[in-house]
Amino acid sequence: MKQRWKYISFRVAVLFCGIGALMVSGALSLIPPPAVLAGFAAIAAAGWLLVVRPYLKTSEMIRLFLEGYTLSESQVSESRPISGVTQMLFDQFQEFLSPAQLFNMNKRQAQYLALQNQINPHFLYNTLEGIRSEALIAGLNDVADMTEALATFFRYTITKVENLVSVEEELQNCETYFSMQQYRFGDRLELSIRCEPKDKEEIYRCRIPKLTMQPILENSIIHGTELKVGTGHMAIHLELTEKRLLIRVSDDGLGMDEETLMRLNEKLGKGNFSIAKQEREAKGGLALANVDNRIRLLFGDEYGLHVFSAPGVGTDVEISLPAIGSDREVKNREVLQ
Amino acid sequence: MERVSCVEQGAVQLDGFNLSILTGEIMGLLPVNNHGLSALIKILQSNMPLSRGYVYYREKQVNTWRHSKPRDNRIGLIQSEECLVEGLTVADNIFVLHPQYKKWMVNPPNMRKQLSPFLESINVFISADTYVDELSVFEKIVVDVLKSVVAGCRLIVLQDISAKVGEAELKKLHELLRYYAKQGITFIYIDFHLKELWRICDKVALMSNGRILKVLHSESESPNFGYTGSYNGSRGPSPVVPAKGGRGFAFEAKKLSGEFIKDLSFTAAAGECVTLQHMDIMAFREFLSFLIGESVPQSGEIRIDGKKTDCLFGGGFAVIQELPTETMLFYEMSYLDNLCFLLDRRLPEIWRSAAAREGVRREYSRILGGDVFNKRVDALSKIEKYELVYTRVAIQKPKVAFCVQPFRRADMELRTRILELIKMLLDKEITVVLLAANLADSLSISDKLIRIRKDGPDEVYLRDEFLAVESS
Repeated sequence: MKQRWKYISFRVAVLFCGIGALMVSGALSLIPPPAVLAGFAAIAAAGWLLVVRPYLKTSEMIRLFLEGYTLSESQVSESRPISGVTQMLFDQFQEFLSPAQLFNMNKRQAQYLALQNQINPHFLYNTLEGIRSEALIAGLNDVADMTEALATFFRYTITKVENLVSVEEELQNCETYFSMQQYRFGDRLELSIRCEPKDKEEIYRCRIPKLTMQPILENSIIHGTELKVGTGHMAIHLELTEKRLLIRVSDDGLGMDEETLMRLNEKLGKGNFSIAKQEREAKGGLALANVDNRIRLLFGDEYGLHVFSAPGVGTDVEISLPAIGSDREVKNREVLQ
Repeated sequence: MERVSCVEQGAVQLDGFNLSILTGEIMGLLPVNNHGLSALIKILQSNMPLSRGYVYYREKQVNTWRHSKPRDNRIGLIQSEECLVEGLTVADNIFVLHPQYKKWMVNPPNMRKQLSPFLESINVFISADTYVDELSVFEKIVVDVLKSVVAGCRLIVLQDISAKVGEAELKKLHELLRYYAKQGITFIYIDFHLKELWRICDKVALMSNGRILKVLHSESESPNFGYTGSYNGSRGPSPVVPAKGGRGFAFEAKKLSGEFIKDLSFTAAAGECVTLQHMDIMAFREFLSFLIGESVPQSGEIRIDGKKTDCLFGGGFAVIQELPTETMLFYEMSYLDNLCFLLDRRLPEIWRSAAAREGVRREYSRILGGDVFNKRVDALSKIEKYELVYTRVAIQKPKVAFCVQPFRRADMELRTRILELIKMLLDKEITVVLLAANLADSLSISDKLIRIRKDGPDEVYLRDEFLAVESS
């Protein structure tokens, strides 16, 4: 009851009941007319204090928020929501847009920019090329190949700053990344890329957000197959329909139980701010949430990631994307600016 | 279906359900439990409102959490129940009951002409003028598939079909599905047996608690559900079978003949489990009608414990009907009264003596749990209802218990429990005869399998023989 009284809708309902009761009492002459008038005056005063003023205050708060002000916790707590659902909405806004949260996001962005500035691509590639030459002269072919793979990987992730790439480019990056991992795991890891031969050309031309598959592949190696006894088979399966491109990154690793799977899928598709929250990093799934958020921001929430898994069988991450051959077909093109 | 969630009567039915099926695919669906299955079918067929997610059919968005427009999506649903209208012909069912049929006059010759290419293409010969009542279960399913195809359904859902048709007919049905899959029709094949699903499906999706856990792409991926769907406990040695022709058999059928059964002969010893498989479900109905005296066989006789029997009561046998929770429980009666139902044949004072009933309650609360006695029968879980039915039969201690399609519509968890309940009957020296069209599950507990052939002698396999075949 105490909670309900906070809501303007509840206060309005109570006041209307009061007005109704007064009208009935007046009509049936249960109370004298002066008392009826006094009652109406009291209800009007209560209406002003309990409904109109809090409503105006809340409106003002929303207006300030829309003008770009960040709201403090005390400002939000002073507001009187219209109903329970509005209260939940305010709470959600407060969680997303609290100064602490925004600061955290800015801090992470600043860290990212600082890192990017530190890496001078030309300096990095020249150094790696130098290492490769030395390795070739010394007859260390494996070291030379690893260095070349690392340089190719960095060139793709750092230099190609545009948001969309072709499936072919993304697959090449996956293969480069996988070849680096193979130096670590040897024959314990296998990767296959499968698609219908008749659709291959069209699939490879499709445009997808950059770094869509590689983080998932990395996740599969680390969480799925690293702890597996025996060879881990990874597969990237691509399917094209009239309007959709479905990419499935599979592993035959340890898999996960139903509850873990449920929690992971709940994290996806909700556009949460988990990326900004340091404490959630430890719980995993950050790479998947990041890829999912980017897809949803670019193409809408009809697309994104979904994880399937069964213990002892393996895990599949299904990426659902629109089948587009040009950057002009992106739904939210302004995000690419 | 993209991250579909829906709530029905306050309970979450589907929770982040995600499944993509390509054109011409036969997608198997293995429900670990039944949760959300009916909601899934409602969403597919008629766009039930969603609380989250999107549904696409033929690449078009047909249902979203923002807006659900109730309408028929033209998705065929073939369940094991007959969905055809009896009293009408095959052609009437296929064409006239079609929602898009707008003609004022029914033209049978024209309908025959339209139907024949469909039947020829699938090598099935059913007359368009045959009344549906005269068709076998397999033929009814074929007509149902044709009805969906003619109605323009590009997605057909088949649910628990394997429990209704025999092995040879199932093979024919699979051929039919493959033929239509090649024509670009997509199928969702719902069954509770992974092995059954791999016989026909390209992929199999595991569904549990309204979610798809994993889509299996090959038979080598074998998940561990915790439920095996087969009896893993010790079955023990097969009961000693008395000398043939002696009076020692608990059950004996001698040269039994009728409209669907021809010269059926088999025996079962006390505590033996026999699976009787027939290609036509009608044969089981006829067999039961002979048993309870509803009809008289053209020739032959049935003996229970050496005595000829022809009536339901006092015959020394019990019948556990197909879907017993729907047909064998009295919801207006208490749990204890349901448990004691028909027990007066063994304990005549049971309804006069409250102490006798209290004795039953005390004894069985140790097995069934004390809580169930305080619950309303309709508030029991499905497993508890099955426990009630089987325990009732166990208390009655008949010589023979006939279980008609005991695993029909049971999810994996329930199947495991039913197998345990059958074992309970066998442990009490009750002979169990399983009347099953499909052998999955039944064989794991059976001592003997009798396959009744329509045209030819019956085949009898002992446990060692069919286990060797199954493992190979």
